[in-house]
Amino acid sequence: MRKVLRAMAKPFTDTTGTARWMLVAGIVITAIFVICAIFAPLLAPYGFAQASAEGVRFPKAGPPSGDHLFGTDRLFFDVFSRTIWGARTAIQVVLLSILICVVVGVPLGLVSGYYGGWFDRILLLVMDALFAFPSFLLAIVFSFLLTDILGGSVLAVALSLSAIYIPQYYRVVRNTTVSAKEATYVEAARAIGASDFVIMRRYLFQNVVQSVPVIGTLNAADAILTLAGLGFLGLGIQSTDAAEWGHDLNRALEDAGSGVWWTGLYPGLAIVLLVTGLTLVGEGLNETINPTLRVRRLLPVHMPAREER
Amino acid sequence: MAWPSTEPIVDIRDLSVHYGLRGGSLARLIGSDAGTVKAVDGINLTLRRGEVVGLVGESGSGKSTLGRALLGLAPATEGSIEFEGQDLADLSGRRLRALRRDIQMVFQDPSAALNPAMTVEEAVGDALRVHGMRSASERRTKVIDALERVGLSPVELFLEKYPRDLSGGQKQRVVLARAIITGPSVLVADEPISMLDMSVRAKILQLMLDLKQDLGLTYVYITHDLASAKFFCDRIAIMYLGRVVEIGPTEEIFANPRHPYTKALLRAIPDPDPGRQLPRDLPRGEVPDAASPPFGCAFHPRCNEATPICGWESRDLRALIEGHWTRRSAEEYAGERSIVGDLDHLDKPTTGATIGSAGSAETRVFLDRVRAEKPDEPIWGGIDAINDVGSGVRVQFREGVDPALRRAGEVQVACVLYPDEPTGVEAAESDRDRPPPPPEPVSAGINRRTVGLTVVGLIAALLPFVAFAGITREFVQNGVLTSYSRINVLGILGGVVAFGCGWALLTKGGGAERAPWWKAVGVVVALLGVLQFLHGSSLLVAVSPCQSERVDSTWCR
Repeated sequence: MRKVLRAMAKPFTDTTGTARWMLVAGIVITAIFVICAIFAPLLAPYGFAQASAEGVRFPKAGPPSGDHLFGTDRLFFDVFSRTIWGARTAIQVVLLSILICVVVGVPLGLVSGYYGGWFDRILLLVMDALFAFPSFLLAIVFSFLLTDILGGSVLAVALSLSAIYIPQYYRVVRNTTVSAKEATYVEAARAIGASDFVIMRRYLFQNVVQSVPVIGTLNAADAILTLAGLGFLGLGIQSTDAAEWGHDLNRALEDAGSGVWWTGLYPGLAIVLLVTGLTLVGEGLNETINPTLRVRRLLPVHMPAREER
Repeated sequence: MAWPSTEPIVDIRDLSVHYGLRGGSLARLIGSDAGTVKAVDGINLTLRRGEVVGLVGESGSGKSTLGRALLGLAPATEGSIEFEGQDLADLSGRRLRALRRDIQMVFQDPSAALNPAMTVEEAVGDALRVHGMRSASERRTKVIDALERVGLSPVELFLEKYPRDLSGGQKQRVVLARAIITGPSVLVADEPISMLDMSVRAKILQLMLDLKQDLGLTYVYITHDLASAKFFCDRIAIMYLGRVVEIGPTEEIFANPRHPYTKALLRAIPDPDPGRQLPRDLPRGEVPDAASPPFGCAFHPRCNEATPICGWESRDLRALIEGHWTRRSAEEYAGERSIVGDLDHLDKPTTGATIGSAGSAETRVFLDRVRAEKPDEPIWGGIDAINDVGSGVRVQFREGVDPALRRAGEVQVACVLYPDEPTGVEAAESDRDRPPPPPEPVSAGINRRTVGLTVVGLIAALLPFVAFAGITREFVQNGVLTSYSRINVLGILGGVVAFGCGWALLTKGGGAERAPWWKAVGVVVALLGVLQFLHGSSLLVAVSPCQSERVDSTWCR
């Protein structure tokens, strides 16, 4: 247990200077959004698709006021509530998609890199083809296909985001596996009689997943943007299903000309902040994990005072 | 040192391990052959229970491959390895893994041989875990016992350590602990001390001897360091290019080396006495290319005692002429060079070498000059005839003898200088075991693969066009696709296949003699493939969103 905690604190304890502050700032910003996401029902004064309270209809596109901190939009929804509920959607989608990416991409990369051969080559070709595509276009295509099957749900969007990020995990894990499997300790594992599965699980896995957290956080930031982009095009989650910042931005487009600034500002600000936070975490992690960038923290050595005799 | 019993524990019969060379990535894709390296080439060796056998040789002599083959880590191409009566080649993967409990290995670089992500306890205990010991506490007891055996104490201090926290000697002790924890009877030690500090080497060797005494181990000690082998081994096998050239008791090998290679290795041991300047006539040059070993005895190009029947060939002639030129002035070289012409073709090993471009007589004069400089070179004795051919001469070499291992006193030697003592017939037969490798087949022009590649490539590149011409026309005419198609997938796949075929044609087309028109065909097919790929992928972009009614059709025009 202590070992796990120490390993988790490692990015923080190992870093210094800018990397450390990037990490701290990123974690704080991200944590705020995560808290919003978890406690959205408590923090948000109204529901995300609530247009009236106690029988009284909210004003249409009402400016920020005591009742509605960030104002209301044309559909009578409370902008503040939708922004907070939006965090929940965003975090849900991103977590789900990263989970899918890791669960699919890492084992695929391990197996493909370890065994090589035809399977590896075909998979590599498919992944490279996916990778070579403009990712946003791919997300659009996938969300088209998936919303027909699954409807405009969180799962559908998460799946279409995973589809565009899986190649990155696959690539990184596969390439590190290809080089790691030549290491003597893998041969040594074989020499003690370990099976391929044991070698992949106990010998290669820990040595090849090192950069996955970095890709994960950086992809999370990217995924927020892609999610918002999909919502903006009206392809993602519909406003009655869940609050989604990109979709709100789309609706705020018409407001911008008529002096209604609050419907667009707050969701947009939320996107910018969360993306910034996640990117800072990712870059901070990268600087600690990537040995070519890492500046290790030097701990001052305290010599015990010499005993006078 | 316990005297080894005569009971064989491992019996290696005619073992060969050949590796296919890999060409370019596409050569691999289409499975073409780039030759083989005979890492281990027909080795017979019997390990008796309780003895230490040393495998000594330079890098590339196949000693490590032989060690790995003992564990089944390197697949045997031919021959058999019997461990206590079981043939390793017959065992399934699962049974082979189970057998590794009995044959273990110690590696050269202890830092690389330990998983950086495992603590000492996990690393050593994993050997038990993979053999089915589930209980962690049971494992721990065994691990502590093994670590104490290899002299890592207090054990508690090391259990939680990672390999990076240990010194090289400590790591090698951990590797030894991991090797002995399953209770093996044979231990293959692949240069176990060569990466260690001098101060630690003797300690590790002593530890290994102690372990042998305590646990009744049999060692295969792989090294290039004869000095440590002298201290450690009961028997020594000298290896060169995948074969054993001399094998016998350590004392006899050191006291009375017979094979010229053994003599050379012994001379290479540094002499601590600065006053004694022994003539160090070490082998010339480097270990030859194992992909196409020299004819006859593989050591003959470097041998100081070579004879006319050692298997002289074209590459030796080239080395001789180029050696001659290193002692000429620039003008002389230029003159002689113009007589002889290009020597590159001599790299293709053959017993009939054609040289000369300025006329037969001049070439003969040149060869006489080379001969006059070094008349004692045994290669001159290996030449059967020199015939005039066109503007040069054809040097015909004598068919070489590839010596088999033969008894000579207490040892066995593979050298023509030590003709067979016991049975002449057998030895003569084994001489014919390995005829000199035939010259590479030169297939002119077309072969079946080339034709196949062309046909497949053209079909893959053109079929999607033809099959979906209708849909494409519809798309062009109406601007909107009405029928859903999978044209994109087919197009992309076809494009990729066609590109692959084209590339293969470009790099490998037309067999060994690559005619330029096959390259042209390759370029055309590859280009068609690219076109098809672009065609397919552009339709994917343009078509897919149009399938849904959500996007208005302006997008698709």
